[in-house]
Amino acid sequence: MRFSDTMLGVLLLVFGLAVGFYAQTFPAIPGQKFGAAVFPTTIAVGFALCGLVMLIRGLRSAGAPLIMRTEWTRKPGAMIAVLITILCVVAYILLSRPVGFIPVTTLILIVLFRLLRLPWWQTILYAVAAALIIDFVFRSILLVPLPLGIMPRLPW
Amino acid sequence: MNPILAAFELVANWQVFLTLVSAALFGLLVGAVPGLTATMATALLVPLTFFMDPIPAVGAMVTCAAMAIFAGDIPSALLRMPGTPASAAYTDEAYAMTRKGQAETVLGACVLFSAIGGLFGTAVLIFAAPALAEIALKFSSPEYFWMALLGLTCAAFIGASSPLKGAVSLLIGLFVATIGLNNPAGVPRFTFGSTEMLSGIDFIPAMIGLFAVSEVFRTIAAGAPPWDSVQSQVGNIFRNWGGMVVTYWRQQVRGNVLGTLIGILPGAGADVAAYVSYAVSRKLSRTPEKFGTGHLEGIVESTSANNSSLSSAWVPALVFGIPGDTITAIVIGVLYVKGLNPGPTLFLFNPQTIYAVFIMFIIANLLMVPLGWMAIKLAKRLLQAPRAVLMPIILAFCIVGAFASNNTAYGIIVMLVFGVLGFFMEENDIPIAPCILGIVIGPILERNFVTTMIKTDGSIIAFFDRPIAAALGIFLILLWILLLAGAWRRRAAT
Amino acid sequence: MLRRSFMGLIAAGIAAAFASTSPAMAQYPDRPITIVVPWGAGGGTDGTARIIGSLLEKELGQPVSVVNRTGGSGVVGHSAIAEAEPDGYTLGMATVEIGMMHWQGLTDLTWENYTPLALMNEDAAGVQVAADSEYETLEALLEAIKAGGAGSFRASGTGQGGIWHLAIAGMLNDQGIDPGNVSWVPSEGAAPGLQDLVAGGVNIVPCSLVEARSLIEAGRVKSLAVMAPERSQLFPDVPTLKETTGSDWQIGAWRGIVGPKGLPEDVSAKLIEALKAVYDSEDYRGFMAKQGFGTRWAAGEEFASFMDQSNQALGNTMKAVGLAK
Repeated sequence: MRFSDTMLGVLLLVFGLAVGFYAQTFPAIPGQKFGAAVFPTTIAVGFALCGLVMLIRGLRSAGAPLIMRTEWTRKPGAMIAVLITILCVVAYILLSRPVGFIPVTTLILIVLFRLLRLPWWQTILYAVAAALIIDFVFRSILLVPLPLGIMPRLPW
Repeated sequence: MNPILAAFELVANWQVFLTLVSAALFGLLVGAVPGLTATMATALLVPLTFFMDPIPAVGAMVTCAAMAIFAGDIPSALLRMPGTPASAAYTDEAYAMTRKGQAETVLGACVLFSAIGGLFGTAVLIFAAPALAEIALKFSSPEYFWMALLGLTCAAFIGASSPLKGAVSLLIGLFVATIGLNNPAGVPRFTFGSTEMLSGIDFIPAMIGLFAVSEVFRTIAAGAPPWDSVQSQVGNIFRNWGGMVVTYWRQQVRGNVLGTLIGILPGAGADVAAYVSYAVSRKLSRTPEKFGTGHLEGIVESTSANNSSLSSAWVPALVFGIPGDTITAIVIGVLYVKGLNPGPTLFLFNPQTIYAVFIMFIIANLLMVPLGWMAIKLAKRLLQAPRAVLMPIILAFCIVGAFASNNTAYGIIVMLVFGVLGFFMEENDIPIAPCILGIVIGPILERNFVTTMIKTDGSIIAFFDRPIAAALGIFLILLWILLLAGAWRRRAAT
Repeated sequence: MLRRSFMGLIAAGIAAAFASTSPAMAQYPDRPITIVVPWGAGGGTDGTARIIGSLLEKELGQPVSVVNRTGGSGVVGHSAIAEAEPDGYTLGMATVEIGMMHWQGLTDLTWENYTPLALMNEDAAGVQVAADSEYETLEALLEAIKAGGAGSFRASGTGQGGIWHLAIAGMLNDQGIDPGNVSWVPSEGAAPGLQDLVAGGVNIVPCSLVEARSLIEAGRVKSLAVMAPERSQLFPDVPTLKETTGSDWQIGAWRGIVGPKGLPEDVSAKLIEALKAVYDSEDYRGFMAKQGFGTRWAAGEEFASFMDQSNQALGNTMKAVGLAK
């Protein structure tokens, strides 16, 4: 998914304006000239300027479509594969706490391995092994409190 | 007895050596896991050092931190997952080399020049610490403001294919840095009432998202095809290394000097050093067009710089107890517990101890070579796995790494958002590295600008009021004029 | 980490598997405990929590891991402690900021959202100036601040509205001097503030003596007074505020172990007992003394009333100097 210069320019300009106006609501430091708003405002001006230059450049070389599909997106299933990957991460965020790290990770890995057309036996083997090994390394050696959920703490 | 000999006696026993090797292995493991940082590795050691003698305790922390910083280069080159912002400056370059089948070469260079850089910084620490610490103490907010601006100028070189898109990337980073409560005014900005967002955007999950997750998306979209080229084996590593040192001695020395200078300043660290060095390398290179395509030159210079800055961060820490970064902050605490109170007196009254600490630094950097090489050989096997197996597992690692950075699911959300953002940025040829620099430098720039203004009631003169600040400011303005003139001439020529 | 015995972990794992079905806590604790620290790795709070954690591990016979939840000036970590299950397996290190954040409108959390267990440490604010400063005593400094007018002095050492900002603003307010005479220069903690003091960027750093220790010992910084009831053991030559000015103003940063609200009584009793043993241990005393940290003990109800008082005092100061919403 590729935006033309015109499209990107407009996006940046709008974003810059939005940030700039919103920044004016930040309170000042009592008794000081420069407060919380200075830096975001400067950045907003930067965004708007970049957007403007890009817009002008885009309008000069008019003709490019606003949104272009890059090569890979034309491949059937590519967009869906990216979407499924994103949904897997979302599923982890929502489910890891109630269900636990090991089951959710195993499940996500199964989905992704199958998406990449790995044979079923490899899928199951790798997914379970990877989840258990990551759990061991992070929980037991590096002391990261991965969510347990419904799982009992494994004997390590 | 001669204090140096006494120091050797303190160090030379099996117990110390074993402690160092275990700490080194632990540091390698933590550093190589994305999301876990050298700071965390050092913090995890604190309760253990409590039961150790002073010398092995300090040695363990020094070794562990040095290893962890180097180890950050391993996932950075192999999986495009920088372990620390210090590796982010050359992540794309190193990953490009991996894709060309030169993973072993680039990681070999990283370990070699990291070790040399560390030794250089240590030499400076040994011979010039007290004098240099005095200079570091003279830096106040106007000086740091100019330093930060100098760092930002470098971003313009990094995204050199299109300066405009480089600027957009930098602005994205700067904007991200304003989110949260961590600003001079102490007011929440762009948090929209969320408690988690008060803490702002942590650069570790953001970095994992921008670099690694976006790469996972791309590879999965393409159906995880095998690597374009087979990984080449490096034969005799020592001959190979000899060649690199001869070819790149200029870059190495320049990186070391620059890294050491930046590292001495308590307000700037290995990350800024790496970015500045990479930019300098590109600017002064005879073949700047090769940068970004998998070229060793810039990597040598910036990997030399980040490790030498790590060693020289100890200058203000040992002489005045002022931490140069979070790692030295932890070790200063341990020094106190062990009765090695940092300060000028440490050099006067306890010379054998301070020499023993220096010997630890040297051993740590020497250990890096064999252990680092071993880690590379092991890690390189990752690339032999089919990418269809590798990519989902990398995603699982990304998730856990993003979670571990602050032990919260918020980190994973940040990672995902930045993964999508990074994906779109690359689709539109917007480079990623300047964005990371923006996230790192944004707060430094803002803090030092606002605090200078508070100190002088808003008078801009303050930025030229003090000798070092004036010199830095004039240097930077001249640099800009030169750069603009150069760009103008090139434009006129075409 | 490496020191846990494998068999012990197997036992803990099996026990945990059974424990999840029986809510009765016959033998608390039967699985690992987590201590949440609202500040980053490497700071004083983190160091203290890690030592307490490793000693508590010995007392309770279960692994205790310290987890950093940083950001938002402590809001994020304090929220995480309050929101945890009140089962005794997630505890936290509350700091003085719990009595400050809600006055600034950053959160609704107050000390009442926690089960107080034990106060472990307190470090009073000091008044530090550069060693070559012309002011030798606090009186002389206060005199000059009073005469100087608005913005004549600059102080640093923590963020806007942080504990040391309150310390100096409250001290000036108590002396009848306009706090606006000293501009606050926000910094990322005491160390950068102290460096700026030596670099000549600011005039005063009202941080704790332990934070200024290395520069005081290096002869670059001098301390004029400490805002505590008694002189510090670290620098017994530094007078208290009361001795120099007769003022009763006292303020300090404290750290204590708390649990989420509603911890079962037997659990908190057991924890207080274990924390008392930690507090009294040679190891803890030695660690704190060598680092230069002050120790202060209060448990249960006593700790609760301590937090209540701290909260009131901080709120009054913040309102007086215009930092409260």
